[in-house]
Amino acid sequence: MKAYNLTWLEERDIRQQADRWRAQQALTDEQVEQIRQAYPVRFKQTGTALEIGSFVFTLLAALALYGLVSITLDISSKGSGLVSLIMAGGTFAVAVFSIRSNQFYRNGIDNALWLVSALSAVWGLVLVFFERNDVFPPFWEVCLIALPILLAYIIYTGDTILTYFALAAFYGTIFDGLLDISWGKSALPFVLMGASAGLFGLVTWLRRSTANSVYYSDVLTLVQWVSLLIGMAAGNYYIVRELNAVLLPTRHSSSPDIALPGLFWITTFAIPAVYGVVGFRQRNRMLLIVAALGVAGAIATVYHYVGTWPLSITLAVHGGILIGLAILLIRYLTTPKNGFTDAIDEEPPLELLKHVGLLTTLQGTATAQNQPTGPRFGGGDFSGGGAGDQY
Amino acid sequence: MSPFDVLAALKQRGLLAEKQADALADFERQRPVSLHHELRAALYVGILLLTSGLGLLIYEHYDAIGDMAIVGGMAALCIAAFAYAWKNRPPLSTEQARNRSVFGDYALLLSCLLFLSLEGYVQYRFNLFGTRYGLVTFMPAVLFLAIAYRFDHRGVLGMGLTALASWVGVTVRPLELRLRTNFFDEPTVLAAIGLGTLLIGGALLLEKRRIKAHFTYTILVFGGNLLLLALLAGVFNFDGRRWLYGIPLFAVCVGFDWLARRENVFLYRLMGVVYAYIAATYLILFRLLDGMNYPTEAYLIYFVATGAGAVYYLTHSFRKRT
Repeated sequence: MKAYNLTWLEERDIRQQADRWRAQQALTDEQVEQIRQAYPVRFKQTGTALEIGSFVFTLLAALALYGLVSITLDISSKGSGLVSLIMAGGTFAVAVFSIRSNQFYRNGIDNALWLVSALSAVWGLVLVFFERNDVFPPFWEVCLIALPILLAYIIYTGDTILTYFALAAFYGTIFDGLLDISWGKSALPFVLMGASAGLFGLVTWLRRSTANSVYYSDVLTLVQWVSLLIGMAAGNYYIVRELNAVLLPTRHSSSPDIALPGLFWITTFAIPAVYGVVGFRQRNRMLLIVAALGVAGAIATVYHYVGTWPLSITLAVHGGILIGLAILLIRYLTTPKNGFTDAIDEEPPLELLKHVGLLTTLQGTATAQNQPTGPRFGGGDFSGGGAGDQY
Repeated sequence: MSPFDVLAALKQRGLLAEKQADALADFERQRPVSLHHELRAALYVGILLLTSGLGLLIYEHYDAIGDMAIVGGMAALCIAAFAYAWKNRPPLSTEQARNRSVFGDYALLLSCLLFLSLEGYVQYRFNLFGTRYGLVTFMPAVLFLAIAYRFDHRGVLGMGLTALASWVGVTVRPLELRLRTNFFDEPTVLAAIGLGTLLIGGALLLEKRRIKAHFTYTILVFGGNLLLLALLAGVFNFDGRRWLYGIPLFAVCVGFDWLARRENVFLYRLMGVVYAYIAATYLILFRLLDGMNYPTEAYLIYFVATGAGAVYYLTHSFRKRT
């Protein structure tokens, strides 16, 4: 069960990839035109600005409708779970109907309707719980109620905004739940690191093994980003120490040191370092960016606790170093090295094409393909380029 | 879909010859990962850190370091960065022109940011401009706009426009367009309206003459937001003259909507709809209906109906060209 047409999404991906190859001069204009005709755009396209506008106005209308339904149906005006659930069902139906009749795909309207529907469902169930027991559930229980509902919505819609909420519910359950346990606070950083690692592993596995990974591509990427960042932050000395101070029952003028400071100093540097090494080996841009942020955070942590320089000099010196590093790397990567380059993805990578003679191969076969006889698969004897022995 | 899935699909449909697909697969396997945007982001963050560090430094330590060292050092760095940018300047052209060096644009940005710090410092220490505060913002505005056009630099253009807005008394933060001065002062509102109109007129004129036509978008978004915010402030704040501000506001919104259709720029339409919606809602609910005297349902129905109407207009009026 999916809200959007999976085949249309795959077709959209094919078009985008073809456009990228054309920008890299790996496909000819005629070929891209053929591909575009074979895979027409079927979703309604409105553009980012209008999507944001549609999102906001849909949210406004839906919230006003929610208020209208509430004051009409909920006589006691204490907040009724049933009214929220009716609202959730109603907006869900409107979303499905409008997607079917308008070929929407993330046009703002559908995003807003999913959001209102999912959150109304969560809120409705929380209220039902509240009405049954007459005590408001603790935050981690609210998160625990929300998580399966949000997951079900995400599986159906592949929506990224709901993914943010689901991630908040996931980490909220862990965070608030642990604080209710006596040993929870000291275990918090380790549990957060472990949970993030588990989440990252799970999502990476899903991306490889799910047949529908096209549908969930953005969701999976988002979860990867957030789990990497939170896993790293949970091991950062500054964050652990200051968070610990905030959670203490008494206020201190400066945050007291934590247990196992040495271990957290190690993780402050080790986690970004591991990300960096793995990212470099796997040529993974996401890991490298998070690692760079982590190194910056680690340096800032050191300055916060043991630094003696004033802020202005620290900023200026590090700004200078960063500029220098960026300039050196840009210079260094003018020609691709170690599988990295400074060239833009959407431009023809001239160096590569020149060196491996790929361009001739591509153009040669493209011309051959346009011969009146047409392509014969399997038994083709195209003579263009001769790529095989050069690699 | 991975590039390899795409290749398989294209091969299956007969849109790609076997050999070309294989060559493309090899190309994808060998293609290096691009760090282009990441490295430029790092460069940009480095420039911001350096200039804000230096900006802080002069206020924290000017007595310890000495005026000559600060002014001399910052001026030297500013001039060196500008000289580098000038050496690699793009050719003089009314079209879009690229800097001849990878770092030219960043050197120029660094130079302009340092100039602002330096100017602030000499005004703070030596009261160079006296009480002619206008000059403190007008001078960089003119300078930056001239530099932006000569060097074809959108970042400096944004800085120039910001300086121009603060010259008329509106403190506008770049990127977030957040207004910090209050718009309760009618001369300020009128000045902002004047500047906004001037900028829009100038941008349209320059586009017609095809002089750096790619700047039109930046100037129109900036000038349009300034003008519409000022008119909205007029609608909200000046009793008795609300319609005097409201009617031009609706006219400008219609204008932006028309422009959106002509130029196929969605943001213009969004601006028109949002400002018109806020002004219309305010005027209808608080002026024509005179406050919240009707049952709550009536207002909720208003928001449901108008919200849905706005969405319908935004999504159904025109399609993206592909």
